[in-house]
Amino acid sequence: MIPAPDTPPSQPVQHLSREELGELVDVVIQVGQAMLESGAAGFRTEQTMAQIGLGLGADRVELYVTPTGIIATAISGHEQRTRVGRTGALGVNMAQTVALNRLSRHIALLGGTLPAVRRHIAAIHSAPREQPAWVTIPAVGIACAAFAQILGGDWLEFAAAGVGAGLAQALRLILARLRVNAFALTVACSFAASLAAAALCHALDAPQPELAVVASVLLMVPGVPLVTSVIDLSSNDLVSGVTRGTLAFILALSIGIGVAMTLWLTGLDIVP
Amino acid sequence: MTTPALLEQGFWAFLATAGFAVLFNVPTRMLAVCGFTGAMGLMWRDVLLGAGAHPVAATFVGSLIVGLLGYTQARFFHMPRLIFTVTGIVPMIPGIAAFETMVFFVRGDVSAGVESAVVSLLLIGAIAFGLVTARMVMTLGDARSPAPPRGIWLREHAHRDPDVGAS
Repeated sequence: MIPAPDTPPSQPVQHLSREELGELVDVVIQVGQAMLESGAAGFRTEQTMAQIGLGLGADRVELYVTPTGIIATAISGHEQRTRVGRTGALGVNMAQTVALNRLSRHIALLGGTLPAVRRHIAAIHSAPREQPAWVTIPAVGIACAAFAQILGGDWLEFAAAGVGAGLAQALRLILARLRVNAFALTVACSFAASLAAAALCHALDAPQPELAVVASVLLMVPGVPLVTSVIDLSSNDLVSGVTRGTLAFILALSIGIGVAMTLWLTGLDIVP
Repeated sequence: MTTPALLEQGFWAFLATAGFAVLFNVPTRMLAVCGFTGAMGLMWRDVLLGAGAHPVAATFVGSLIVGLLGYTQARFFHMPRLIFTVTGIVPMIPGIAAFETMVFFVRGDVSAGVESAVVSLLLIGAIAFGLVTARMVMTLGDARSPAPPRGIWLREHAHRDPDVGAS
């Protein structure tokens, strides 16, 4: 961009102090951790971190982002600081991704100060979910029940799948609060969902119980890691892609174990 | 496939996608947009299946439609593309094939299990490649967004429109 000839130079180049730069890297790593933990792909995470780092006054930001850890360096003048951050459990929280992305865009365009950005990130972290549990549970139930219809079922399968999925979502919220390991949680929830759906189909004498069982466990399908894995791979980020792909595979396997337990308990009488 | 049946499928796909969007904590005002994307993807797939297309090809096109729609919506609503594409492909997930794999393995019928495992992998691959193809199409020859050297970000990269070329 070329400035108009008669405007004075906007401001002299100002370099950040060593302390400010350290705090800046800390903020950048916090943003990256929050992005990864809410399900963002590698490239989007890196871009958001860079926009915030540069917007806060660094001259150059160097990043290495994987789903389990981040290395970030910020450079200003002759100073440079590097930090390493690990990430927690990878979940899905689209609203958090959107909010962080909006913050980064705002900072890239208008700049910002470190304390303000810290406050903003803390607010994004502590924001409640878009919908409370009493909306999420029936919504997930209806979504999975709709699948029973898409797969060719009828109202009996619809009801069974809905009840099973709703139950599983309620169980998932409880187990997540108890900080149960993600794989154990997936096994437990898919077992509960498929068992409830199978039992209900048996009680209602539904003609196609296998559809209800399939639909009831779909809420556990690791769709986000699966898609971000492919996005990462297609943008040449092999480490992130393989890591996320493996995560999705193990989660899918956990669903299989839960369903297999139901199949075993019900004596395979729900098989097509 | 008759039109009422197609519309019925679209309706259920809308519900399924919007429900999953609630699960993924998508901002509330985007729920209907996500549902629309999912319904369009599944309806296109159904139309092609009805016209005799192979399931893998039909799923690929459905997912391509979801990717293209997601791109447009991301630009229009200023949101990351992921929230539309991830929820939009949900109705096309090969649940039955994956379930059959499980059933056959539990029964001890390994060869039938491997067969349905391959079918579900192919369908998942078709979904993934549909999204990747949509991205390739939309960024083709986009000279405004030369990718920065990965990992190194300078001042001049900061002001670039984040929707271009990102996922």
